Amino acid sequence: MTLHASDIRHSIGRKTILDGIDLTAQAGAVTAIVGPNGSGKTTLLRILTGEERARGTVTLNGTPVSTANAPRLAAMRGVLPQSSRIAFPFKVAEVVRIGLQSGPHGRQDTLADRALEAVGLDGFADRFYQELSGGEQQRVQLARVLAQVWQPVLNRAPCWLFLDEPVASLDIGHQLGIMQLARDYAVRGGGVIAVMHDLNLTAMFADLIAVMKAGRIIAHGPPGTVMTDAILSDAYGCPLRTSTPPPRGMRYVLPQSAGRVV
Amino acid sequence: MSAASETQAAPTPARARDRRALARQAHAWLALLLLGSCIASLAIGASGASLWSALWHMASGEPLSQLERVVLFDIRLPRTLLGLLVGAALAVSGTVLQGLFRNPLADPGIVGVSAGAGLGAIGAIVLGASLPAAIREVAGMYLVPIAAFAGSWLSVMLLYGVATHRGRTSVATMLLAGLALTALTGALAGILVYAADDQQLRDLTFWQMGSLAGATWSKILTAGPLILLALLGAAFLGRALNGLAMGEATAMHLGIHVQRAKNLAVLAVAAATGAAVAVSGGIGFVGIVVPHLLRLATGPDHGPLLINAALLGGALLIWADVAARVIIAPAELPIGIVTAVLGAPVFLWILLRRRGVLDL
Amino acid sequence: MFAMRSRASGALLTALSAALLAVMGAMTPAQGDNAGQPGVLSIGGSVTEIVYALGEGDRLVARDTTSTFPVEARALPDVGYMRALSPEGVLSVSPGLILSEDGAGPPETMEVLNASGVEIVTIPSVETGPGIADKIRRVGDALDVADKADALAANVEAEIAAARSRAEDLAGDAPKRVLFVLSMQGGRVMASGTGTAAASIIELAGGVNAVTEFEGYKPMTDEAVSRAEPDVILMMDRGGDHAIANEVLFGMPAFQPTPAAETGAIVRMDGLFLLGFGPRTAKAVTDLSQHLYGS
Repeated sequence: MTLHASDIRHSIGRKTILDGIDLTAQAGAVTAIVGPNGSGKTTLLRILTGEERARGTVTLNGTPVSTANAPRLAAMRGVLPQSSRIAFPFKVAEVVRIGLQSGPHGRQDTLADRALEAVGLDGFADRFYQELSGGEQQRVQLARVLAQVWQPVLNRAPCWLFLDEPVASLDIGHQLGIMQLARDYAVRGGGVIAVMHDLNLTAMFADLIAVMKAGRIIAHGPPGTVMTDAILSDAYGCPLRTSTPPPRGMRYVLPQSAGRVV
Repeated sequence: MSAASETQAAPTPARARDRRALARQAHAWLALLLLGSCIASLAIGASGASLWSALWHMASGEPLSQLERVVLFDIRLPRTLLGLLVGAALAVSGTVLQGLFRNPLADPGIVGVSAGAGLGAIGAIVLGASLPAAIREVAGMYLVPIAAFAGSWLSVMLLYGVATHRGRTSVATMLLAGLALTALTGALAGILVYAADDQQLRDLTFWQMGSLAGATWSKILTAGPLILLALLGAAFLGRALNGLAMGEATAMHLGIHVQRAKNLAVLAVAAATGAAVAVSGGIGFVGIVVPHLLRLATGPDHGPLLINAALLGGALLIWADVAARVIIAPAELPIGIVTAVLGAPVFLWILLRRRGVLDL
Repeated sequence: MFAMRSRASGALLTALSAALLAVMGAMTPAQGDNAGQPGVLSIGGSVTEIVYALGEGDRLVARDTTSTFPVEARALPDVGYMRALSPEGVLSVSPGLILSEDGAGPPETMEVLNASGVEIVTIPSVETGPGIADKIRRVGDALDVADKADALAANVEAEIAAARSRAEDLAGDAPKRVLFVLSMQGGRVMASGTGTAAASIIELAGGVNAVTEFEGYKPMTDEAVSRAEPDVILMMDRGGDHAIANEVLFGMPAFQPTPAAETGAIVRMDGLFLLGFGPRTAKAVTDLSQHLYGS
């Protein structure tokens, strides 16, 4: 059971956003999509989740995404947006419950609290979503997504998490925690697709990386193969060096070197 | 921080769940309030007819006096029922529109319903005499409500057509088109007002301020089913509106048929508000104040909110009508004035109390 | 949360108790069920005047907002604007008979009143001397005082005819152009064209309506007002702060170039007196013509 995208093409007006994308993501693995701003990462994610239509085909667990109806997709995958504003004064637990009731586990009330605990927000259930910081709100959204597709494998088919920059507004401690969460989900059989900005975290947690540039995938493979000086410098348009310490004397903090996060 | 695996769940706080339970309990309380309001509305009035003595007469098999019969069955009972229907229609319409536009200040006026209804009513009042006699005879005294209803439907359909492209409705476009339509209908209405004579002008003023005084059984039989159907449709929008609160993309990801939900929402609002405005003129504030109060008291979960809005809206309008009938008896205040006088301060109080939470 | 819960219940209980109290209050016996002759509700200022002129004023139990003369009428309960009557409000004054000018409403209310057994007599309005006489006779018939009504009607008709011919004499060959201004709201001049009560009374008083291009009351542009070249501005006397001072009026661009501004000719008269077309109309005609032409 895979996510399979074939020859995806998409334009807005005369501007080509995606120029023939082929991508296959496996369940049980974390697939990261990286690339500079404007490379089409978020557009690609929208097409993979069924939010937008494009030329080409996308299938998820064998089901074509463009023709499947919304409830069917919701039972298979959860989507974490970049940021989310809620128009009304919902409480955190209520937001998570909205996710819970959209998925196959709607009757299991306790999952809402467990999801909050998983993202490190137990005790937050009664807070107003609008009063939280950006990072806390993002984690609430992740809890909502988790509550929707709590079981990574359901009826012998994998469930999927689509994450759009899941750690963008988090501090490094929480970044590590959330990425670990995504990893665990994959380890237990689920599929994870994440659009990432942070290359270090990507190197730590991704099983497969797709590097995008100008609407195309220019490199595709495990971190060892893809994260080279040549590929990354080409993609990002600046001289990048991998696995190289900075000039003597300058400090650096790598998530890779962090101790075990509790 | 632990991964999403089999760790012990933290003790769950009872509070967040209480809001949902509270909202559900509110169904019973509000239904009771509504019942009490109906009884009060039947019992209170400018004339001396007494509900209790009438019930006593009926129980002991005696005939009712003509005054009792007319006042209770031809005046108070229709007004109570109409107040219930119109109040529920306006409150639920406001709730649905606020969910659709993702804005707590949305109001049936925004979608062009009130503007279209107003134009229809003005047209009927001012031009009514120049219509062919056949039409006037068939419509009778319902010319104004029919025209108002036709006006509101036409504007909503026009609006929806402008804002919907290839099966997808842009809420922002709808909002802007609503503003434009309100301006246009206002201009057309202005032309008609110019042609109006003194009496017609006063009729217009009274229509715009709203009234349940013209409540008849025929009006209830025509507006009632439409409003009830709309309320029923709206009741199915609970889950969709919750999802839409986080944006249309997220709603779709949550498994909601977004376009279907939008269609249903617009239809329900057009039907409910169109019918309500047609039979009772322009009554404001109910659509904004009721959903707000309820959100503050029992939370913004749209499932129970829609039901509570119908109950509270009905009760509120019935009480407003009682006040309108009694305060300057034997004359009567237009009910729109009562709702404005009560609604505006409550609205301000809400804004002051919860400035932070509303976060607009 | 629990505090809010008990607050909600508290609010509910209060609401229910209020309902109960109101209900109990409504159980008190009604006031004003007078036995004997059914009370009369008169709607329309001129109808009320006629009732009093016939000496039947004490049969009235209520009146509408426009019934401001005589002073005794103001003491009666007011059922509101005649086209927006409240059915139960009307019934609460226990009228056996409703005497009304044209256009009482809304129609649903009139139907309910009919169904409740109240007799409704509509008195059509024609703005001439004979028209008023007819009004008086109809009111008299409805009140069962036909003899008194005949006498009053004949009297009134004669008085109006006399006042009219006196006014014509006063006017001579040079009748004055009169512009009736209904209101100046928002700086716009709302004036009377043809076919209105104002137009009729101006004509009776020997004047000429300065505006004949349109029917009814309409807003006029400043230019149109000056083109009408009115010799006299006629307005209703609003009294108190609502009246616009003469200097201010004539200072406005609409009126400055008019002949009326040169002589400062403004006439203000009470609205019901001037336009009511009832028993006092003969005096209104005389008064107006004297204002226009001197005595």
